[in-house]
Amino acid sequence: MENIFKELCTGLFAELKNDELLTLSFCGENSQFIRLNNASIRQTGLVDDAMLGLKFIANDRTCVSSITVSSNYDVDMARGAAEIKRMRSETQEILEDPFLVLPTNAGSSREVKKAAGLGFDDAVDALLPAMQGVDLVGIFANGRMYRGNANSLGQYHWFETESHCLDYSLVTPEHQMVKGTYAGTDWNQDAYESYVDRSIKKLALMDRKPVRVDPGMYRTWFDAAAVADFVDMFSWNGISEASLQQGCSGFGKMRHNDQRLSPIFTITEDFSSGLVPKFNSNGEIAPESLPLISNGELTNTLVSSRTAAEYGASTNYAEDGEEMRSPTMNPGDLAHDDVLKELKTGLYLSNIHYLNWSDNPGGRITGLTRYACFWVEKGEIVAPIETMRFDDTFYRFFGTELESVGSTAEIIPDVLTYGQRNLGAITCPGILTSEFQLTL
Amino acid sequence: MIYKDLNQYSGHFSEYTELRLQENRNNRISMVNGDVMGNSVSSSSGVSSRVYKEGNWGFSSSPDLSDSAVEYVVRSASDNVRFMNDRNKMECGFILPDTCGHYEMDLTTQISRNSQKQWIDFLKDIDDYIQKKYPNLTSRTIVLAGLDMEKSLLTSSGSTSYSMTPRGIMYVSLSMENNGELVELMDVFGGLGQLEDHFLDPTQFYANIDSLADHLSRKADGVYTDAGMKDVILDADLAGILAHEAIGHTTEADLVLGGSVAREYMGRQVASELVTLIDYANSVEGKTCPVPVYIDDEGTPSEDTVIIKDGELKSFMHNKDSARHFETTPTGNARAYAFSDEPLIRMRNTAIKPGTNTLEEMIAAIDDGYYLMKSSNGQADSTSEFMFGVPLGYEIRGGKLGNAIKDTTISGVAFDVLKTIDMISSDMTWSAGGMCGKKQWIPVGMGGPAIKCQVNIGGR
Repeated sequence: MENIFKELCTGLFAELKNDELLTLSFCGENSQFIRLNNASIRQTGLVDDAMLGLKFIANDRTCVSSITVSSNYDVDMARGAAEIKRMRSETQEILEDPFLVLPTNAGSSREVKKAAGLGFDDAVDALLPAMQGVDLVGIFANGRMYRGNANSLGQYHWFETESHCLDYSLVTPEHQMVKGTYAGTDWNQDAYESYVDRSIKKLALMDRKPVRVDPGMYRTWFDAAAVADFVDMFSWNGISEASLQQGCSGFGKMRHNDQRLSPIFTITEDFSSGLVPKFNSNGEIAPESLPLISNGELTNTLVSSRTAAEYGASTNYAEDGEEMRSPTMNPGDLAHDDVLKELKTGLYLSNIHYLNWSDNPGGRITGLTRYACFWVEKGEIVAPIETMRFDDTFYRFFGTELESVGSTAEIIPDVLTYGQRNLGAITCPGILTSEFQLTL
Repeated sequence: MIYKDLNQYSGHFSEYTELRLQENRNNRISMVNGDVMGNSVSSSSGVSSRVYKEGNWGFSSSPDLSDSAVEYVVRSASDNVRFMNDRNKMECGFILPDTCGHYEMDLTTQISRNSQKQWIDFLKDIDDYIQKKYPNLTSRTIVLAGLDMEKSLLTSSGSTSYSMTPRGIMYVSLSMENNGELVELMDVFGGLGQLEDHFLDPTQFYANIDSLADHLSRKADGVYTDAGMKDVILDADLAGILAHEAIGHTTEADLVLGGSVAREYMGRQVASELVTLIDYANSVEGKTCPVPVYIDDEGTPSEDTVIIKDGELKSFMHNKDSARHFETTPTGNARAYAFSDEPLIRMRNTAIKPGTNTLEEMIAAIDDGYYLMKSSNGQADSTSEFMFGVPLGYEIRGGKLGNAIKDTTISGVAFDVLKTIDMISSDMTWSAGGMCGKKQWIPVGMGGPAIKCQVNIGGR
């Protein structure tokens, strides 16, 4: 893939005329998808896919385009050159871009992650034995992913990684479910089997008759997967500087009212794990580590160069949408083995589901308890709970009501496949809150 | 433009095979407070093949549309299924329902195509109108978005299909401040057709914008809703999202197999007898739906799926595989968004069938309740529990409309809400820009009549 990208860079940059600037961004994958139903494989598929984004700047105007990369150089060059020609013409007609961000050459990078992954031909035999005897439904994605960025001033970045991800649910005959996501780079058969085995043991608890919990406030433990869902909401009308400037961010209270979260809550945009490239679609390199909320205090927002130009802020080279790309929440001191003992009586939520802002300025989030969620009494799991709706604000569960943070941060991968397999993950521990509000 | 006739490739087929060539083309321009903030054009094209044998599926795709690439993906998908057949013989002997149909639909506009400059001029005209007439607004966002989905399909059963299904929409979002609080409202215009089919004359939208600005102004002075179970009228936008998100998804046969609550409800009374809920394939009473599907992406001729008839749950939506499992016939609901996506069971145009009441009669029938007009973020679960944001609505007091309300939410269990429906309006309105996510995007039609029912509404 890298050679394809390089050849297109050379060819398409040569199409430019004086004073024209072009940034190319490449996004590709060579993936195997295996669909599982009732612990049997129903479909295997191979997807080779790549897209090339073109950002053309001339006459203080910007045009953006993207084309499919067929890997046939002549076809792709013809497509790319046609787009340049179209955009060249457009830039003579359209309105000037008032917040133009010009590309620069701030250096180049190349990061190729080699992994001892699972071979496509070996995947079926590796996956199936661990799941026999249970009803498992899920999808396994496996293979290499590629990201590239280059501009006509000579800047060049390449990122290549390999990963696998089994996203699954185990289902009881009564349709109770346990969700699991086994992901990584190197394939470790023992670790995989052990992970699935833990899910199967959790499923056994789901056989107990579910209890209905009344609406109200409950002492609650959230597993890391549930915390990741909350953290993910920060990328939507949250940590974005543009959202704050436009008055549609849940972080407004922290920015304008000097409100803080708990002193034991710290989250950082941290690229040191190498799960995602540090360069964005403009080819700008983000800092290796950017504190966002430190000991409860908002220290940085995500600022793209465009937002910086528009609002007079300093960019920290966030992506244009100013969403978090590699958020990492600091672990605390609550060992996982002590969670039930510390929880005493309350809710143990493994997963939450379908989150939505119910009051964005107030930081209030609603959603459903889902999958393996339990009622706990005197430090012992009693039974799964019936699905409940919650509605509470992160100013409480990451703030005033945050009692402890788990001692181990887990990597919760992004499993979405809209368009292409997503890169990235949220790294976070579980949390214990003294109160959490169930509503329906 | 992709090939319309794929018959030249049928010699590569050895088992049950679907071959699809597809190109999606997007055009999006956004303007914020008069500045062009986004101007992008994209296209994505390629070929995919899916092969079925003995209960297993093989899939392959390539972004290359050459003859050799087509041959490669068919061979690769066939190899994948043979690989599976060697390992999984549990469903040996299962065969898919056989369907065959032929259809060609090209909805490319007959109007000469606009340049990006002409679209930007169009947006600028609308923005200028808003700025001059409503100078107190905090921000104005206008977005034009076009999507052309062009597909050719050939199956080993002999089905052939070519479709060019376009969608052109415009979002207008206005906001203002009132006592330090940001108040926003958005509306969407357009629908089936390319941008030129909807947006040639900006003056046609001035009245819509006046209406939006008027609602926004009223909302800024609006009141908080009283929390609790209330009599409400859900206008077409909300009735449509309820039908799609909270009922439709629970009756997609793959989600039924995954444990949706509808599995237990088949043949039972799940709604008021006034309710007939249909996933329309392509037209309603002679009028083309927002997302017309005549042949689905498995080559099955599409037909309306009557999900609920007179309150009784009658049918799920099926692809060939689920129809085989449930021993019924496929309904033509298998749809894929991109060339590299496999077809999944997806809705097309889902709505409650219109009734006999007028909106005025429905408002007059409520002593203390709300008329809820627009939906924002919506979500639902396979239990049919839902929560939708409501950015626009009015009080109803003594059978008359009262104050506008501030942003609120409604929630409940959709199958319970359907049982409370006691009036349905006689008109039918489709929302312009429905897009559904299920690991893939897909354009859908959502809408319907207004319904009078009871829901739980959020308060301050």
